[in-house]
Amino acid sequence: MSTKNAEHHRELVITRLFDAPRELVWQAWTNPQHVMRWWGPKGFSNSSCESDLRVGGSFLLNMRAPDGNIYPCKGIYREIVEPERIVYDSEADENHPCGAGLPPRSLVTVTFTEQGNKTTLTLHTRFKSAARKEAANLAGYSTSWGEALERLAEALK
Amino acid sequence: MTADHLSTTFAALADPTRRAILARLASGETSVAELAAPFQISAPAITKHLKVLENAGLITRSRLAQWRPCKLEATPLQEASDFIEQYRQHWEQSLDRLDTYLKQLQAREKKREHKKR
Repeated sequence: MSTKNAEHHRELVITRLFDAPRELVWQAWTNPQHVMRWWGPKGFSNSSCESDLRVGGSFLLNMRAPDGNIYPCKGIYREIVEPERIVYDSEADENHPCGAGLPPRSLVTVTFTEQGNKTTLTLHTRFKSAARKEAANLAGYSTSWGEALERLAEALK
Repeated sequence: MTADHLSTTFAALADPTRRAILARLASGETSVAELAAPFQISAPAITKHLKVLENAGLITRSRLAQWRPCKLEATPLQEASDFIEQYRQHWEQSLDRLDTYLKQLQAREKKREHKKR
């Protein structure tokens, strides 16, 4: 396996086109009052959100599941290029594999690309290879693993 | 499902040889000799990989038959796969909500501009 491949296998990319100007998408993404209105899966709400929007500043949000459980999201801003890019370093607790959007030991890069009056948002998650190597394989699971999983699914039928 | 449990699964999946072994086992249980055949590595090396997979609960080895066939155990794989899916869902659904919210913001903005005129 080449290094490039190995890198690729640690990543997960999600993109979305919004019918809104980039400035507005940036505002909705960075202003805590706005963030609380949409962050989290369907049926979830947020009880608090604090954002110190500067490199080294922290992002803290408490996400409430429909069953009442609170899932904290913790990150540190590693890079801020208004209105193009934000990089978060997760500070999530190991007990919360999803980290309410910022999984433990992951680097999440959000890119806002202008397309006329629309905006393409790219959410790139890089699972870091730490002392325990598990995170490095997360995305590999969904990419290189695809084929093996298909066969597995077949086998399980 | 604990994070530690997941860690063990992911650590076991870190190696391409081990992934290939699992892929092979997805099409049915087999002997160690048969598993080793496609790889240019020693039998002890294969045994080591099998131990890692076994400790992670990804495979089981029968103690009944002399040739101790290996069998794939799907549960930990499913849990690992569920995690990725859960994470993806978090973002897909958050972005759906953001999309709706952006539309509301723009509608509000339009109304305000309309009033100004």
